[in-house]
Amino acid sequence: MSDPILVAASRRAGEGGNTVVEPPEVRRIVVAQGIEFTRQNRHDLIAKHPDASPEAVASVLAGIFPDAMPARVPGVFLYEWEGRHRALYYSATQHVMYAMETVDDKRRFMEALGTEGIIVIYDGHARYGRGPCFGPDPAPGDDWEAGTEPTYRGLFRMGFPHIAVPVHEVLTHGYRATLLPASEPRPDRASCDPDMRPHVDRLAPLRVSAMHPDSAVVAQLARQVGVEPEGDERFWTYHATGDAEHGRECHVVLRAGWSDPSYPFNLAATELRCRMFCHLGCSTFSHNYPVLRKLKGWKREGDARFAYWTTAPSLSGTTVTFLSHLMTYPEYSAGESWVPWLRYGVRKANQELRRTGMKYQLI
Amino acid sequence: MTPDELEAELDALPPGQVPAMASLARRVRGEALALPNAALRRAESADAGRVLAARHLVGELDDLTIRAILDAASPPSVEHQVWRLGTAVAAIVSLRARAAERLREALGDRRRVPIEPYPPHIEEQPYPRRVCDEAYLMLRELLHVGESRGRFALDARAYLRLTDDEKDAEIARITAGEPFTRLVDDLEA
Repeated sequence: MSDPILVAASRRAGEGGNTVVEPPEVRRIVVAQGIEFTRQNRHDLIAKHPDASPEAVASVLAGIFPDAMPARVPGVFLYEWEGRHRALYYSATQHVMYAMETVDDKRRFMEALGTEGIIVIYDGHARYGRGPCFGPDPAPGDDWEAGTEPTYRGLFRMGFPHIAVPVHEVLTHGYRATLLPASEPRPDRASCDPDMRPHVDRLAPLRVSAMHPDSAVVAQLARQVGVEPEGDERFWTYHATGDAEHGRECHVVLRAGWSDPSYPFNLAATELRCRMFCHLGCSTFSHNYPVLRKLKGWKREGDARFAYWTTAPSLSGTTVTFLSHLMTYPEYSAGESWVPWLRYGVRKANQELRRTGMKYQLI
Repeated sequence: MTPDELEAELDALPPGQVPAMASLARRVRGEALALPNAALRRAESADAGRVLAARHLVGELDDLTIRAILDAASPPSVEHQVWRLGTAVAAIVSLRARAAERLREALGDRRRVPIEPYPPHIEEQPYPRRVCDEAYLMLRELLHVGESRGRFALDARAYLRLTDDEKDAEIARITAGEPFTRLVDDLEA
């Protein structure tokens, strides 16, 4: 039994002081906010659109962690310390103290993954499965891939070795892209992200000049790929419809590599000591669950090594939803197994997602 | 609580606040279950003469009894335990059959479901879907109980990626009584 540190106030004066309260269990939660999804990014977004409707502003504000927490769970205390936005909440019912903080760079995210016993939630882009991605602002550039300062910015690789993305994604984000050359063998299905697997049999080698009808766009793409626009190098590609806005377009195969030794900011090189990891970006159960649980072998062990994902494209704000239900679990929980607490939080969060018309769930 | 009082409570609720809504839900549930709970207590009394009509009523209440039974404390005897479980399961099976019937009707509805597009900076967009596609996935979730949550999530994603013709063929298969198709070969890497 741990030493009692709290004495009930009513017993402090003249009543012998022999009624004691066990200290609460402290659950430390690090919320890692990825590129374009930092708290600051979202406040900047609101400031840039002064004509936005009150509903639109309220919708963005409702998803900002930790700012949105007190409205969801009265009693949450917000503060800033050492440049990080933090929140504290004590649940008397659970006898659990929640100590929450935000980080928005890769080094601190990796430190959190390696910290014994804590909860790490990544809230940001999934990068089509490549992994959590960090940067101070969403301007186009290498922070959307390997990072301008890789220790702090860019991808933490957590995906299958080969991931396909639509050409418009490469162009929009303006990063240097490492395409899979057709001089190498066609990738086998097992090395590909599940979204790419139905297309593996019809991968076709294409020059950059054949990837887009507009020569100016081809020139930009060639610069990002590091070849001449009219060069003869060919890369593995396929054509498919990614979304309604862009229609049918060329998809290129990227080297994504969760275990690429040339890029140490990856899952293979990281020892996870946290008790729970959640990746709340788009469709991460499909993209990243098999990599962490099967390839990396970080499997559930009794009451530790929990992991949660999303089943489909997700929206920001899931962190606020999930945490607010965990924090209001209506049972005593200190020192107990986390399983009933987590099951409750996931079930209630999923009920809320369904109720609000979202097409994804936590899993 | 009267319906008017409920309206007033809802009007006064702070928007989005989780504990306040949970508290209201507990009160509404408690009041809604007061009568089924009373019938359940009587159905398990030691006085055999009082039991028969109460058991009849509990059976007639169908889905209203499920929550009352599942939330109730341990029953006084083995006989009561088995009766309770049987009553709850009968109500669940009946409810599931009714939901499945509605979903089967919806399998013929090819209208598009309007989906609010995600903001442009969100990388992946939700797959387009029709009423019949939603019904197919819900029916699969409802009836295919041997399928794990993970398997279902991956197969649902794979189903939504199919063309409409491919989806229609899958719907035709299950409408003809064939089993749901496993669309993703492996949960493994």
